[in-house]
Amino acid sequence: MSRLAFAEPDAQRPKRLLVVYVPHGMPAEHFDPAGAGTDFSLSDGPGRRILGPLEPWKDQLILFRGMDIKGHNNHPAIRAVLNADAERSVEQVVGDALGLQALTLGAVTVPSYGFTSDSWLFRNGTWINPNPSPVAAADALFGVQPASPGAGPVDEATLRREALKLTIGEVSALHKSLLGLTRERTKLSTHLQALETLKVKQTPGPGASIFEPTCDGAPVMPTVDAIRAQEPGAGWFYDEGHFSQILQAQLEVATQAMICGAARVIGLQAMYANAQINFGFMGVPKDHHDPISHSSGATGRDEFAQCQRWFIERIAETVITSLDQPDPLDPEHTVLENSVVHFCTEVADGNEHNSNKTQIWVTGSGMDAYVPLLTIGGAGGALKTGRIVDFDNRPHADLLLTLCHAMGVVVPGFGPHSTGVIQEVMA
Amino acid sequence: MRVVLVLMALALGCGGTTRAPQPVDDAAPDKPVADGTTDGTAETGDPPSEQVSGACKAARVGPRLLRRLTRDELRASVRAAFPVATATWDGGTLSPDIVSEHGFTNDADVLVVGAQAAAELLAVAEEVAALIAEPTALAAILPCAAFAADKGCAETLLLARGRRLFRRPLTAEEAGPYLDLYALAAEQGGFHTGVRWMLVALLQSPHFLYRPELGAEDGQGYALTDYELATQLAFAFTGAPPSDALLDLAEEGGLSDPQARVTLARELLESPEGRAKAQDFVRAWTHYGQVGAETKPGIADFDMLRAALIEETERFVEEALYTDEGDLAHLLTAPYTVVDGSLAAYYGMTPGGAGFTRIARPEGHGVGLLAQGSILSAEAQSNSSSPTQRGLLVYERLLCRPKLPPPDVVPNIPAPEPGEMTTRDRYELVHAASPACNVCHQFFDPIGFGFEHFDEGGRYRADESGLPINATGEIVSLNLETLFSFDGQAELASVLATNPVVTTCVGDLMSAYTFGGAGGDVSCIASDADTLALHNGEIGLLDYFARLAAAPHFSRRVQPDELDPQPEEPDDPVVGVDPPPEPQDPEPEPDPKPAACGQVCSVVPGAAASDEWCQLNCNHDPPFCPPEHCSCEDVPCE
Repeated sequence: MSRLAFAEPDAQRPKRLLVVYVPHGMPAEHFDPAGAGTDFSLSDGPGRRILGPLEPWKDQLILFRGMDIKGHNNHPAIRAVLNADAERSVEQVVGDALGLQALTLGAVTVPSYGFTSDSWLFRNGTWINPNPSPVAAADALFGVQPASPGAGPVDEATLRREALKLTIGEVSALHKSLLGLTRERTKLSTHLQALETLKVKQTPGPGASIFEPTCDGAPVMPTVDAIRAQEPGAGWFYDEGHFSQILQAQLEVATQAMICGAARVIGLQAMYANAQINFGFMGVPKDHHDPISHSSGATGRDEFAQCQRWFIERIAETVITSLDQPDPLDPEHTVLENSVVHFCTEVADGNEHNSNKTQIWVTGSGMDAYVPLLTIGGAGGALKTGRIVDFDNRPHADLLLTLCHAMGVVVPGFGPHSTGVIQEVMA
Repeated sequence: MRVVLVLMALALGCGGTTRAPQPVDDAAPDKPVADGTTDGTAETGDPPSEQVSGACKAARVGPRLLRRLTRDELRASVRAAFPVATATWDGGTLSPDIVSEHGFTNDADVLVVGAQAAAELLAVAEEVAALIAEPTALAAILPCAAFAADKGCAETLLLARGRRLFRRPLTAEEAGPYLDLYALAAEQGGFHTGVRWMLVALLQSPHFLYRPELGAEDGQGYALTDYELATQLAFAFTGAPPSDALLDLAEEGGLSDPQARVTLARELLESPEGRAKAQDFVRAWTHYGQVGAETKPGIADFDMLRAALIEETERFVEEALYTDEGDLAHLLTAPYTVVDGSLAAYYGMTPGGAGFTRIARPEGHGVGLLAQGSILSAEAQSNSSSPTQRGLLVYERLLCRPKLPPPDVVPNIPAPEPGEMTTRDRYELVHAASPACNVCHQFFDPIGFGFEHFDEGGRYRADESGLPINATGEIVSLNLETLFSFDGQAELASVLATNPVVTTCVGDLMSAYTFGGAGGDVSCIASDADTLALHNGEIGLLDYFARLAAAPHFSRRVQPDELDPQPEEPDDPVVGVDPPPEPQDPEPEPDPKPAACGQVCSVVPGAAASDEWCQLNCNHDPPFCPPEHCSCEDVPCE
């Protein structure tokens, strides 16, 4: 995919992309806003329960109703949410085309006992493990950078590069020695590519971004600081009891990175499919996957709505509010106008487990349940926002393709299922 | 796995063969035999017997491969090579390893170094190298640093510690680049800077990160080298790299004799690291550690008991396997547990003394490993027991039956109604009453009902909020014949303990764990004779574990082409970041989807399944293809 992608030469506005994944779908009757097209409400009627926090930014929102994660269903559809059966996920494609490495963050993305293939989300030929630590991510983005040549007695960046060069040479030699062992050579090819990427990152100077970051030291990130103060050990970031704190901190890191341009393409995975994280921290002391997302009765579905609303609130209060300010890289627009925040999940209704548009029977009446997929932000003027677009099981790959084009990354298609850019939302 | 395959083949092949449900005594399996012959039931059309032996025509030898160190193995390796400098090291931030289809985190097929892992490994290498190269720490392991801090001194460190990290001596050709890196860094920052960056590279080396299981061709395949044997022996039975003494023994050829390896393996299992390894197998096999993340809102202070529940199981396993030198049956049926005062009070038992002590379980309070509070709590909902989860544990991890994918629509189990409905009633109301659910749940819910005298926290309950408990259950064949019936957890444990399918299943899982997936199929790694000996109680589970060191797979490998031909990757690997993207012609239209060929399966009209379900499960390895739900035909490929 990346080999076919290129950035539009006139895409001069400093665009950013943040993809946020949350598992287990939504209770459809609490998510679906009343209305259609540009005439809809997030503050009244259905949809208010979950999407209400986004009402102030309704004019920046696009809700994609009726998309189909083709070829996938149920929670294992997590494997296709960001790549739609293409080799690379959307943020990887965009990052590569823009000459940036996508920042991949996570909040308790694996079970404490290890993870299985149903936990996979970000893919780049193979699984990409999100950075579990907002403290480490913040340090890498805003902390002390490797010294530049001549800055001190020891040029750490150059030595790091030399060390990586040595390792690359060893891996290459080992790779060449394994004639006939295809699977082992593939492992080493993956390893080599990762090392080469690391080595490139050590190279100082321009080229990492077409817009220079404006960060001047670490921005204010209260939850990151609070975690850092606890001096967390290696296992702290995998403790499910810390989930809410970690997610909040990762949202702070992603937001501040977007604002100052320290990272312009970011994926953030919250939990994982089938996660049984207890949501007592926000007043529903039950496990998220089952029973919360499996609820069929009104009371249980109301609790599920509370939990999913909590995610939307976090995004609205932490991310969108902060992005809705003049862009340091382009003061004539807000960061939000120059960005696109994509919210996604792998199933439509949490109890029905459909990954497409399907009529379901909920609390006494029938309704369509569709995979909750939305964007907030104008992508530098590329998107026509403030609308709901309706489809009848159009491949969700088209949404991923549209995100690429909105970011100025022109690709002819996205995986085997895409049929074309969603022109209804392109400016 | 292998027995299940035989069982399924027989069951499906016999078509309409049926038998009436039998009481437990009548259903007791035949004693297994060791000569590889069947017991004749296939010829007579009687129900298939389940036996340990006969399925493996020859011991399996897996493919040549590279095995990336797991997170735990990497940490153990660093600590073993630099014990003083890493005494207070917390292990660094390394992501967990993926759980493979066998349920373990050490499968070589899925352990790779991607972008995140490479970044983490670099960070850990720099962190550890800084600890080691700190002048005081370095002086403790490298005396020449005090009086001759030069390249020669760095080489001394490289060769001595490099042997521990690479698990073999470095060649002169390999050492050269490290000393060049030392020189470059030392030129800038002096001796300790040079050592630090040399160590950063050493700790990222593929010769450290990957355990080679490549062997040397000997005309009959590939024999693992002495160093590879030492490495496998150490990691398999201690979870840590080989000691200098073991490497010395390997250099002397002391690991070539299979029986010598078994003796050594048994000794290693007695060491603290070996005991931890045996414990880790049980933890990974039964997933009981999951209780550490469980919450039970209805049980006061459950959060405070989670660590104690885990310790109880660890101590129980220690008693059953080490103190009693027990076999698998003993592990499943030992009539005691090991609790402290707080746990005794929690369970309603009489404590045996101060601290953790071994006490007999009261009558009715279950037996063995599967009665452990950690397992019962982990395999439960937060607010009720779960016959499904508990049944699935037995179904998948003791019977090794195929995993069944959930349907697209999962109905909700009604919320608990204390005093109105039992948990069993609630589950049967949804699962047993719905053909779409029962097509799968009939295979494991009835097993899970046997645990119903234990609540969501693993505590015994005589009744459920005043309602009588029905803890009867059954294990059914794929043709829905009742193989075993039982009433309660203790009877279920006895049934499992005497069932050779369980012995073979656990034995195969132990092979998968010991050999990190063995490059694919893990059945027939252990010898039938050893599995038979374990089943008959002639050897303990630890003895069986150690005997894997004598398996042909332990010392040999085959070229993968001999197992499963694969397309060859181009000689030149894809290295470096992608070249600058250029506009190209649109992607060509994908080829039309080829017509399905091979075994094409579809749902039988009226059955509660789908074509997709049948295609997936009938072609599963091993297959799960109930004829009342699916039919298949062989369609030739064009």
